[in-house]
Amino acid sequence: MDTAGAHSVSVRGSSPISLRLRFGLLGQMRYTIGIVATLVAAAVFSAAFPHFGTFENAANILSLFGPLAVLSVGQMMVVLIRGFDLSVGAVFALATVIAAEVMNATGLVGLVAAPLVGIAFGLLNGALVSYFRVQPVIATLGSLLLARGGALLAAPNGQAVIVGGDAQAVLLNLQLASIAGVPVTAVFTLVGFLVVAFVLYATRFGRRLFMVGGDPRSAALVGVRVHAVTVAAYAMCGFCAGLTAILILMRTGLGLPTEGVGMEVQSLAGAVIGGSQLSGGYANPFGVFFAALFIQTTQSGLNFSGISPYAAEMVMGCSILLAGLLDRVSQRIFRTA
Amino acid sequence: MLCKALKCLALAASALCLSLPAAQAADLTIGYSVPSMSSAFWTSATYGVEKEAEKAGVKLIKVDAGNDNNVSQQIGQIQDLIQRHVGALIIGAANDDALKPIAERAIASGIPVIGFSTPPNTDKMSSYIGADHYDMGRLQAQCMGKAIGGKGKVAMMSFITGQIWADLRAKGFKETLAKEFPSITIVAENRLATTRADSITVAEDWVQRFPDLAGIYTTVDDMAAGVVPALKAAKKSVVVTTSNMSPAAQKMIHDGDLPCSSIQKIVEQGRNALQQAVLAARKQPTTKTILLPALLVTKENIDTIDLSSVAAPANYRP
Repeated sequence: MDTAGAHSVSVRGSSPISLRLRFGLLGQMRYTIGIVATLVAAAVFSAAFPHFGTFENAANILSLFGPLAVLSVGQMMVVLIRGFDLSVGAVFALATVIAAEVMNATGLVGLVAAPLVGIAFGLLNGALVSYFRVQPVIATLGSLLLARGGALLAAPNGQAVIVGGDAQAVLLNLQLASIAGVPVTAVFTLVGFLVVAFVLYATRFGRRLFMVGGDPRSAALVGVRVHAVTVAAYAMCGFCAGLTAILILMRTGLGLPTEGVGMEVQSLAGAVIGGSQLSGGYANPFGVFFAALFIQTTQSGLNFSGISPYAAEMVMGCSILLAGLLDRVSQRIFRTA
Repeated sequence: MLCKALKCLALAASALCLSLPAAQAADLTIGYSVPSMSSAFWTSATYGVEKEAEKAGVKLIKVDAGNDNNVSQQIGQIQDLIQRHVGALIIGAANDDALKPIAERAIASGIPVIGFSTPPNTDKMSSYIGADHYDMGRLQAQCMGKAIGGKGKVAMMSFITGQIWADLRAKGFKETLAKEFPSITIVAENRLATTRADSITVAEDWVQRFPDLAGIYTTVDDMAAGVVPALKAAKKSVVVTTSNMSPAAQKMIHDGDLPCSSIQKIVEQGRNALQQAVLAARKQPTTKTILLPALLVTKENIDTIDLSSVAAPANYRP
């Protein structure tokens, strides 16, 4: 599955079925690597620690992997069209602050401010990258600083903003609540993924994303409005950052202006381990879902272990490298298959 | 090819298995969660906790949120420790309000919580261990007042708010200056810098803004370790005072770059925290509050003061 192949499909890409085979779940067997890696990590840690392999802990891990998963799937949308977004960490921090302040004025309804802030920054990034032809690294680094500074300015004294009264109780209870044993936050995450999957595989817009990612010039030749698609992809990435802010608000009950440092790189790693390529043209939300689940399972396992946090960081690094290597290996297998 | 890949994975997995310490070596497991073990304070604190755990024969699980600001990461890690069914939890909070719900959840599920230096904002803890931070601020103010001759402009790097210990130190410093050195004025206060790198930027800003600045108060020695070389490089003679006593701070006092540091017995606090955690886990009575007294270290007494209860040895890694 080389880029040239993807590109020729994009140009010819008229039949949804051929596209689905090429890019859909069935055509992307290699994304099962994420599932395998997650299961192996879970098995190893369950064997090592008494309370790891339990339903409660599975629920625990599911309640924790949401922020990285949602941020990564947003990142995946822009990586698909050959971009990336360095601002996601700062944008979700800003979104928690603004949403916390709006909620303090309006009650729980104010939570909608979070995705709105995300979309606003997504539109800005998208417009800069497409219409103004600013390179993604500069455009999104600029908006990273804009969002981080904005978050610190918006929060009194640059400190955490406490969500007051009932709204906070509702948010924190949602973090602990579960439906038939599945944490509400995990359901929230899953719904987000299903929406993204629907957009990618069942809408004309989704097909255009693949076309622009595969080869923007050819896409333009067949009448795709490349700039508009680019803006929309960044807007969806920003929207995902806004959803991440909601997950963080559920976990902490606070607007946190300094949260999310380093998350831009982690989300990029999540997208890439999940099967995206920085050269664009590839995306699979299910791969990203399991990549994030794998990272959180490993992190939780290391938290169970009691090894030095410094050593834990190195193990985490090795796991990510291993996942990357497996991805390359499986790519080779399934290309010839 | 796939078989090979899986073999690789299995190999790595078993290697990981072997490298993990035996889980059930001790009958009691204590969880320990702090914002960032790479800061000088938490390094020494962790050293005390770890040494005492070895002495008591209990297993210690340390987690580190990686940064003073990683609130949600710390909450997630404590969630993991609750799942791990630790006997008791020692928590130094990245943000006292944010850690309250998760601490209360641990307590509700039967895991007693020991607040350590920056406790979660709850009154349901079994014990709180800290230092007399107000006194540390007071000692710094007296040292600063003497070092700059009782008059002039002083700026403060007071660490982030929401960290009670930092608030108390700043309060002790301000109130003591106002009372004992009324001719000293505080011209600026920064509440964002926490690291060496942040502090350098702030200090460079200040010497531009206030050319006649006489002194800079820093909440922790990591900040002073950033400020002192930056001021030296800018050829400014501004007196810097600080608190805590990492190897870097010891060297600066020896070299005369710092007139003093007010210190707390950090290692001793760590030992106390672990002792209280073990008592709480075994359902034995705990001490509600343990505040260890502050000391002032100067060039004159640094060689005679016993630092083993204050700082971890330089070769220690958490």
